[in-house]
Amino acid sequence: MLISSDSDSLASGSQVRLGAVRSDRVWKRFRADLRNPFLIDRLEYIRDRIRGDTSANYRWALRDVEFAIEPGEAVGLIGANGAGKSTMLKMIAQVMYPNAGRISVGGRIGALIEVRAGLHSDLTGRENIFLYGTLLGLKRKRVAEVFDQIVEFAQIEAAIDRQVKFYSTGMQLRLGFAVAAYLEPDVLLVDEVLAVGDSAFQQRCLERMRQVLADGTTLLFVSHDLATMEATCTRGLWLRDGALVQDAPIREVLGEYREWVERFAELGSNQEGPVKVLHTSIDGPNGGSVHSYDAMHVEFTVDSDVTRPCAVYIGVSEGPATPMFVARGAAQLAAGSNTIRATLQHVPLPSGRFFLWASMHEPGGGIAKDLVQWHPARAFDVVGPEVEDTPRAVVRLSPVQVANSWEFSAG
Amino acid sequence: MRDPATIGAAPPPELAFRRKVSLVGALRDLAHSWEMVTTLTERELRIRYKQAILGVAWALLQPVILILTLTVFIGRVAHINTGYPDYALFSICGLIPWTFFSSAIGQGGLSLLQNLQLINKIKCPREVFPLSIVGVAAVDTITSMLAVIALFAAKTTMPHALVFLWALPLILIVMLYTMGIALLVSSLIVHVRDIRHVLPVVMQMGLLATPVIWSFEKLSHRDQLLYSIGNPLGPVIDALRRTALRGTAPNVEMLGWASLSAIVVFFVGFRVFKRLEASFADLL
Repeated sequence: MLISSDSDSLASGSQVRLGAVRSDRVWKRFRADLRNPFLIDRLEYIRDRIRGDTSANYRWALRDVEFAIEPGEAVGLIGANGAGKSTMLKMIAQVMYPNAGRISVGGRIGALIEVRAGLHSDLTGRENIFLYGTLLGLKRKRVAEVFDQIVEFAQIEAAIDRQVKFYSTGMQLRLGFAVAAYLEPDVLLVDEVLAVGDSAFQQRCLERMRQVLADGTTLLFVSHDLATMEATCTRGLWLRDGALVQDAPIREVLGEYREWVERFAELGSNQEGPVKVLHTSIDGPNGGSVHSYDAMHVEFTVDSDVTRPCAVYIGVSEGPATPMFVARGAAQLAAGSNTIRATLQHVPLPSGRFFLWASMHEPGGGIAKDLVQWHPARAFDVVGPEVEDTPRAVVRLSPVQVANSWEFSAG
Repeated sequence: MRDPATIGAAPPPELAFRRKVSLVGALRDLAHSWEMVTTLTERELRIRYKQAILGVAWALLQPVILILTLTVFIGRVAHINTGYPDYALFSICGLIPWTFFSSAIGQGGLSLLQNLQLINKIKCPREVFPLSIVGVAAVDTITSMLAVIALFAAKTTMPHALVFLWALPLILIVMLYTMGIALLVSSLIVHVRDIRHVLPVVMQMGLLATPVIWSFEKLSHRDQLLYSIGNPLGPVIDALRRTALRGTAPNVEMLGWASLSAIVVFFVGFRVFKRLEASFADLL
């Protein structure tokens, strides 16, 4: 039934319940300098080993990671780039082995770790679906039964007998996801690749992920889109520098994570370059805190080396560099100290913590030179109504909230 | 909340991950994954025959060209004394196993590098990749039997029936030996990429070092013995020639040593492959 075996201490499929994932004090290291393992690298390695110095060239990608996921749980894996999320997924997918500790996974694993999750470019879409199914340990007959669903989901009816190398990136991604999500996985792993697809496809993927969750499949999801994460997952695992720093309900983890990003963000506000931002402040209408649907004042104190015109961009996000909305102003900076003030009217934000991002450029549009790089300038809290709760199927891209009123009439 | 700074620099030694691979268990796994081997073989064949319109012809081309070259230059020009009347028939008996072996190793050796897309994403016994290439080479060899039939027809002779009796054990020896070397080479290439460049040269040397163009039975008994252990293809080719062309029994003593060697090579190759398997995804 499964590819897993009893002989392999890693793939102890028979001892673990279907859909359960356990990571038992897992450590994983990579050679920091190993690009192509040539003979010379091997010889150097042997030399180092003889000298008794083995640890110098290694970097620990995961350190003592321990968690247990029950069948049917929806778990979000969050963390900055390089924190070890993808390595963790690869080890759960059992294509990579830990250096210490144990990982056990019960059942079949569907993994969308890179865009073309295991698709072979020389084969047609049809052949790929069957190949992948067999590799997952399904019988051909079973693959044939879900074949139509896969093709329909991936929207590649016309191209199914064409070689995958002639597919667009979007088609490959759709097929990759459909194959991973429809071939009856007990554990579904989805890496941040979904961000490559268009938003309609992302929605369908999220829809499908919720469906498989409802069928009792375990989901492990990696994304930088925190809102989607919050809507899809119930539990969060936060990896930082290869260590699992928090394992808690998703809202709690995301809250801590955002706060951490903020602390990290304020460090980034000291800029080097022709224009330096010395200070940033954010106030509400009367100098107090910012209120929903009210005005918000932003003030920068900047230091310029020469007199120059300058375009200022500010944006608001929940943390990441992609703002929910952006405003632009033109300033004339004098040599020395300057003050720039901006007022945003009717701020459409609910209660919560947000981040102001800012950058300054020489005027001249898209290719203009950066005077100050796009950086998180300051965090601020908004006082106002809570963000509206939504059912699982309604996923908000960002918690912008517009003042609203309703009328109902019969007939 | 756990502070990453509180975690030690390295795992305590008792946690070290030891992969226990029992030979029996691994072989059973492989048997379970047999469908994968056939699927991958089918995939390779499809790719091959899809890209080349000539399809079957490509499988025939290599042995046919080699036979022509050998017959003209070795048979006619160099006049090697083989102990057999017809040089073309003599050489094809050596070429068929050799072509199988060399294409299985030449392509099978690179199979892990070429399938890194799958290796990075799908959990399966990794040996399915080199073994499926051995399967492809086997299919090509069956195709090239057309050339053998054509050659016998052209010479208006029939191979002696004795060869069919011996075919199965001979095929088994060649298969075990080829699979063992394919497993060994493909896993070592991942760790030492330079082998990739050395491999074609070694295979060319192999063509001369294997009794393809010369006769195994001309060797002294001691050399035959060393050959049977070092390169089991030698006595197999010799047995093919004796049974098919002369209708006499093969040298059973040498075949015995060859089988022993093939079995050892297979298990050593399998063992090494399994030992190195855990690090494939890190290196690819």
